[in-house]
Amino acid sequence: MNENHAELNVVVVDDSDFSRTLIIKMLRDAGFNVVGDAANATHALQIISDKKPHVVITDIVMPEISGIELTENINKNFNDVFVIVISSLSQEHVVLEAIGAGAADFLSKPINQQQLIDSMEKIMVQVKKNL
Amino acid sequence: MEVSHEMSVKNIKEIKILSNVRLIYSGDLNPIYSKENLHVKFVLSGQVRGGIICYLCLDGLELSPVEKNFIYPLFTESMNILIGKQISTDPELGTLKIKVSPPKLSMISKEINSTLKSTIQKYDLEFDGYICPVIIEYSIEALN
Repeated sequence: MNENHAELNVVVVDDSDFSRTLIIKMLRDAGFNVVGDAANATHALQIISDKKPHVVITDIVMPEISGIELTENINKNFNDVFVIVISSLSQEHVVLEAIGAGAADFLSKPINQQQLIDSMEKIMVQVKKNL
Repeated sequence: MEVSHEMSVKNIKEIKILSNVRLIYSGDLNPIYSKENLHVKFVLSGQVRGGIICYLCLDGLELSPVEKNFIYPLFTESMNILIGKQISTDPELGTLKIKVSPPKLSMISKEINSTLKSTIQKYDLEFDGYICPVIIEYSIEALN
């Protein structure tokens, strides 16, 4: 396990308890510091405001406010927070929409732990550059 | 917008949901029958309209509360992954802008007694030594 991973604070947002729990386990097993999780975008924004994470991982399809709208909001109001968008939908227009909203990366479900770690490590480099 | 035509969906051979959970397309052509099941429903909008209903057949299975707490969310997320993959990789659906609603789970069993049609697919959800049949009904129309 990379000891530097613990320096990266993460919030996980997904309306599926199953998926959220799985992603949190993958992150914790790899040593990342999960500081909060939320089942919807409104709760996520409260946690982000409170915990100031380096990274938010969000699903796209959620009730009321989508992960794309959440990403836009984070990009506008918390511009030092990186967003990884995850979705079972992976058409080109969905990926482009996520990147256009300000996502740093896009991962398709089912989530592969190594892809998740690689994505987090790329962000870790950016976070250190911004310090 | 006007309806242009009813759409069929390409099956996906296998998806590994977790290291010990797989969803496998069943080529079984026997008539479909189930009366103990639960289902999740997805509503589609955008350049299509319609819905997809996924039934998890539990006929003859006696599940403990602990097993139910594992299987129900696992089934819902598995269907979310399958439907997303099908829409994303289908040669026709994949080119359209489609919004998928969050899955809506219903515990109310429905009697299913049908022969196989082009709008129905069968899968097996394999986990922890269990194999549960999954029946999926697609009703998707492309809009002009």
